[in-house]
Amino acid sequence: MGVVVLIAVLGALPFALTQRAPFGLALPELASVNLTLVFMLGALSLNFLTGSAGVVSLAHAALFATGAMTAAVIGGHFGWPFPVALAAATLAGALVGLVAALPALQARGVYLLLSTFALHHVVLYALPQLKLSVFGAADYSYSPPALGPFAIDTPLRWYFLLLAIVALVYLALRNILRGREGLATMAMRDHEFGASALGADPRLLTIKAFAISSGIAGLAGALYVYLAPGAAPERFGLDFAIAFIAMIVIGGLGSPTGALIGAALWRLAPPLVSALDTRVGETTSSGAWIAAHQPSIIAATFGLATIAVLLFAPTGLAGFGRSSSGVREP
Amino acid sequence: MSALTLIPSLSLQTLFDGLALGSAYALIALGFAVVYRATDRFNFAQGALVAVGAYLVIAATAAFHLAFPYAAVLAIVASAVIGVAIPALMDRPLSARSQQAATLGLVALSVVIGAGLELVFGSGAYKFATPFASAMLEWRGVTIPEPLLWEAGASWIGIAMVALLLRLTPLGLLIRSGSEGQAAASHAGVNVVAMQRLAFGIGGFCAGVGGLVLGQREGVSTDLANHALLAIPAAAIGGLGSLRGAIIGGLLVGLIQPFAAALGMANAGEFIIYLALMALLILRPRGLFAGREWSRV
Repeated sequence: MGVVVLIAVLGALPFALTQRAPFGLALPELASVNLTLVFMLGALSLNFLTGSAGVVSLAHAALFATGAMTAAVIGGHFGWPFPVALAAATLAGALVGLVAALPALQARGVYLLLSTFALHHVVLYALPQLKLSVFGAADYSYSPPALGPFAIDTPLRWYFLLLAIVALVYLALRNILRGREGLATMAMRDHEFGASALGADPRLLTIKAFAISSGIAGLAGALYVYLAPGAAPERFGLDFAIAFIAMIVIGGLGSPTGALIGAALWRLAPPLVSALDTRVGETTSSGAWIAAHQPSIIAATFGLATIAVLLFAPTGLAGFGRSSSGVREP
Repeated sequence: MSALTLIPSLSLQTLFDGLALGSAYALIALGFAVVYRATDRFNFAQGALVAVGAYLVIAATAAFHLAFPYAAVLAIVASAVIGVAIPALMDRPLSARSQQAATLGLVALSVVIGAGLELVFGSGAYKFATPFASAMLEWRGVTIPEPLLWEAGASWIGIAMVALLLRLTPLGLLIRSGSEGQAAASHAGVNVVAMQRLAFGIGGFCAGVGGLVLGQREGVSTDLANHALLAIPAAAIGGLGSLRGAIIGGLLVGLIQPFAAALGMANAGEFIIYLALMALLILRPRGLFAGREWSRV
């Protein structure tokens, strides 16, 4: 029943958003909702790695950038079809993620955090060089996205495509987490020695989690640049990677639903700060201050919220009303 | 001057420049390593603390009209106090839950500090009102800018103070005992909580002096925290938690950058460092100077 309602609401959403402003608050454009769906994809993938497998990763911005670059080379430079570009971005993301996972063969914990940190810098240095050699000084070019004869050329069409992708990824991850592998992965997160005593191989599970998570992140990166063209590799800085950490912690570590909530909150922040700015008055000194410092205000708020959630509500927003036994259901 | 004498003098200058920068990284990495050694915490906020130290000097000179030396001492002391506050306010409850929660908390803290500094001081760059002349010292045909000596000197005084504290007083042993087994250490009469705070305080002290040196070197801006994060690969190359490794790793990281720049690859320095770290983590994750603390990972 709930699923039917959800589908009806999500299906009607784009038609409800057109040019309305209830309570004087302008509703977001559909294009902005589409970008939120891409962020949800990124949060879902990081949540699988950090929340379910227990590995903190700083490589998500680099994986986004990898997916974006791959889509540009395959779809734009070689002119291959859109689905091929997306598949290639997914594969490239997974492969790059596997590099970060390699230390898992010998070590765990902070060593994986270190390897994702190193990977971030290596990728972010290498990609602009690659871009320069493929595209010269020009910006990326992308093939016009189309699924076979069906062109994805309006925000409405993008919306339903992205909705389908997010729903598929969400269901797939939930399915994995409810299955044998997923349970073993979470067991490893909660007690590594216990899990391996029961026959789980932490090394293999960690590497698999990296591959799955990184593949989805690569896909999200490719979709991201189709929606926000010209996203240069430099745009995917460390703050971009840490933003996803804030999203999944606030939403609820280990809960795919929490990842969706966290991403939605993150995307709601800029319009909220702008609305606050309008309320205060953009010409006043405090209004000008808010306008000039919007990214820092958002970063500070989400950083503090992350610490507060970690301290006082470790199951995040998705965990409210649930028992705090420490058992997190997927 | 012929080309033959130019090249060695260029590389000698580059060497001194790299050593001065490397000394600062060695000090910052030492603070990171002390915290890791004593508490098992991956203090991602160390870079942000370096920026705090530098901005505090600016704040003390601007707000209290202090002369530079007093402002510097105040900033260092304040950095150490902020370091102590981290486990007291935040890290202990988080680490009681899980290692992951503590790590995530420190990552979030680095964001809060970075954004907070931007909100208070704006995104512009500041310069210290230092009394150091930008004079050049001549030594066997090599000119060394005088501030370089101050930078290296301040870094090594900081390193020496930490080393003496840990080697000559029983504190070093007590600090380490917490990481070998908290329950056992506390049964043996070690105040583990106080030792963890002390370790974070030493980390803050190192970050404060490091902020002083890096801020003097490249000016005080929001980029400082990101540059200071190079202390993390420095500490990891030597082996997480190894104090000697952190110092050597810091010098290596400092040396690579000016040499890469001198060879015309201005941004390649960072790339080389992180690529080396990547390779090291795959081949020999415990670092070049792996100690016996391997078993607790």
